[in-house]
Amino acid sequence: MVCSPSFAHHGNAAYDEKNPITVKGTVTEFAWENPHVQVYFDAKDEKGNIVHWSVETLSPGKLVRCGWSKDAVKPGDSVAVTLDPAKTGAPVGFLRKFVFANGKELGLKEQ
Amino acid sequence: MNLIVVMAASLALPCLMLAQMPGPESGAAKAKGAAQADSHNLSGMWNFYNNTPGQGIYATPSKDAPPMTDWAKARYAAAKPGYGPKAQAGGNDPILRCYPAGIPRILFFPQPFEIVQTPDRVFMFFEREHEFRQIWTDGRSHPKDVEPTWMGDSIGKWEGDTFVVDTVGLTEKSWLDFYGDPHSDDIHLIERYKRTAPDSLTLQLTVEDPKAYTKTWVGDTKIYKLLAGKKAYMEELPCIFDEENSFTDRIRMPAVTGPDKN
Repeated sequence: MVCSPSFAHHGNAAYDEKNPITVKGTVTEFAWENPHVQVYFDAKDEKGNIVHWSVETLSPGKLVRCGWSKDAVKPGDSVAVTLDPAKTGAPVGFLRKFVFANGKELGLKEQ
Repeated sequence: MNLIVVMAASLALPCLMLAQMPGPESGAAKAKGAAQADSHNLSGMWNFYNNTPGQGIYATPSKDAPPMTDWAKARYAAAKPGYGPKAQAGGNDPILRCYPAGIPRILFFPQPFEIVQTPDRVFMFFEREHEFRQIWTDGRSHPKDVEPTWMGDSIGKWEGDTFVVDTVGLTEKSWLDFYGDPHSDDIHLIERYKRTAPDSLTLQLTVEDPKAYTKTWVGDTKIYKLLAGKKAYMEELPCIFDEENSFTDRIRMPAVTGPDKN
């Protein structure tokens, strides 16, 4: 409950919360900062072109309470990111689930 | 071995002493006294709980504001919030420029605060902005002329098992909530806290601000849950102007302006 991002985020509904998608890619940057931690990662689209994705999540304090740390994610990590995508079609989203290629998940729920 | 036994005994002694402190004579009165003493304990780390529509995080005192005065209507019209009925990207919310959230808005953040009680004050330490407020419980009244500040001048007392906080002297530079609702620096804020269970704290707040609202704004009940064990962790969370701007440039604006067309 404490960590769950089930609340309506940002209020202005920039993200499509009803249609999350999962994107697989490689991390390029992990911004462990306020107001929200961000993960930047590259993924290939159906045509094989590289798309630069950005996903935002909770504040560092909340993530620590979910079991993350500032070193939890590194450039080069292979990840499967489930996110609520921006309604405009921009490669930006709000994080719902974060799983490494080896199956390890970084939780966003109360442990 | 003897040393360890002695040390263990001396550590246990303070606990034994407390248990044997004199109390009311009858068993029932003793139990009632114990219950009352426990219910005057608000200490702990508290995190905003309700995610239900209308009183979720990024909240407002209650879903329906009372009618605004002309003064407040003008302020509200100028506000460009990121939440609520007037939500828009970008905007002019002062917290985007790292202004303090102030009281009561800081109570609506999804970040915890810790309550610490001392003999003459109750302190609330907020993860948000690494801010704190003090509530005087020594029976004093508000000073005669209070210079408005972000956290205000607060006095508190117990009414039964409810801790009632009375605050004045809140600067009108802060928004009342995330929706851009204004308040004047004449606002008189009453907060009623009740520990309804060991891990639950409720808050009901009332806004009296005739300069801004034609009626008293009676808030709905906000619920906070105790953070315990590994979750009893509070971060230092200052607002960093450059990081706010970076987040706006890299996430907020791209999310609403659409994909690059190159």
